[in-house]
Amino acid sequence: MTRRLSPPPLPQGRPWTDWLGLTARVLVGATLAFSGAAKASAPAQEFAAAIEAYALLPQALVPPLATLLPWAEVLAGFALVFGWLTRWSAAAGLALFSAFITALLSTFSRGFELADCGCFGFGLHLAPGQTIFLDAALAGCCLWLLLRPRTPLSLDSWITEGS
Amino acid sequence: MPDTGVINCYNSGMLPASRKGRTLLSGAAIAAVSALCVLAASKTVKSASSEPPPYRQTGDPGASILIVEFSDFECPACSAAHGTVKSMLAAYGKDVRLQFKHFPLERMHHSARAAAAAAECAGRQGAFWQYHDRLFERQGEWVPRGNGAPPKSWFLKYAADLSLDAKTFEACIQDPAVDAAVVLDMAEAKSRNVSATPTFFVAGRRFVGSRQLSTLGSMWIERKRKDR
Repeated sequence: MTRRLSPPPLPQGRPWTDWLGLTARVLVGATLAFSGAAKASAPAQEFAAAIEAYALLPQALVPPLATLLPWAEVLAGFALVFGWLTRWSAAAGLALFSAFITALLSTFSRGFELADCGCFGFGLHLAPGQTIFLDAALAGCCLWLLLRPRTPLSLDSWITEGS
Repeated sequence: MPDTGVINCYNSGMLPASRKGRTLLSGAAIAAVSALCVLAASKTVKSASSEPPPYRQTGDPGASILIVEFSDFECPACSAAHGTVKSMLAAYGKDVRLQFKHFPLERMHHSARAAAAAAECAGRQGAFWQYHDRLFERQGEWVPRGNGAPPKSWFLKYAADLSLDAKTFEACIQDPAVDAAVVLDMAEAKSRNVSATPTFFVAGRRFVGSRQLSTLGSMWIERKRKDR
């Protein structure tokens, strides 16, 4: 049986908040996808060394986390870029950024400052202070998407409306 | 409008009609895009290693376990690992051999390449390891911070402290052939997908940082010793 579906309509007459949501989605998604891909494509031992520098986790947890976390970032990133399960993806993004901010703040409270946060692998170096601002801004975007997940040009709208 | 393949596919019911089907198809596409993206960003890793000059090697030449260290004299983590490497060489004695390779991270450490060249020049006068120790132990002194003295004056001072020939040393640190030796190591590091320092290859297995070297690296060495 074939079902005739009309092509997607051009996005018109949407409120500005929808376009803000789209911008937030792409911004957070692209950052997560880029940072995750940078780490996932590098040897896992390098990101493991970055996690070890925070001295927060038991040694046994570091290798699996160093392998899995970058993939979680890439998947959540592309899910946001394409607008797939936007609310859940934004929740995942918010959880990731909150964890990163907590880890960075914990280094300040314990009196040591990392030379590099390790957030983008070893290809792009950001000081922990800069990273906290970036992560907080992106966490804010995730919060916005969590509250207003309906955005234009998303897979979600195709899934829900079939068009 | 001409009938394109895309429209045909869209209209012919090849895409799932149910909401669940569309969700799963979208998820699979996202997973595939993610995997392709990571694959595209991955580099081909070569395991080939060139032999460094004899003055950058230490330990028994007949040792069964080779440690190749990629290091940067300006990197604080490399300085921290310096003690770990020394104690491991002492602990494993005849079983291990260390090869030192330069990998100055120039984007972060602006004097690291010059420090590597200075260590090379000390090596050519038979004092590589003494100079290497000095650079790591006095990192706080020669690494430029604000208005401090330029690193070169410290490099010359350390050479003088080790009784190296001053004229030969000064001529050497400006010799392009010395910098070429450093560049050769940097190229090898890149071909082995090294981007962090210190990175150690212990009997072929990668360990990054002193913590991995002292814990997982030691376990790996013990296993290799038992396997013999």
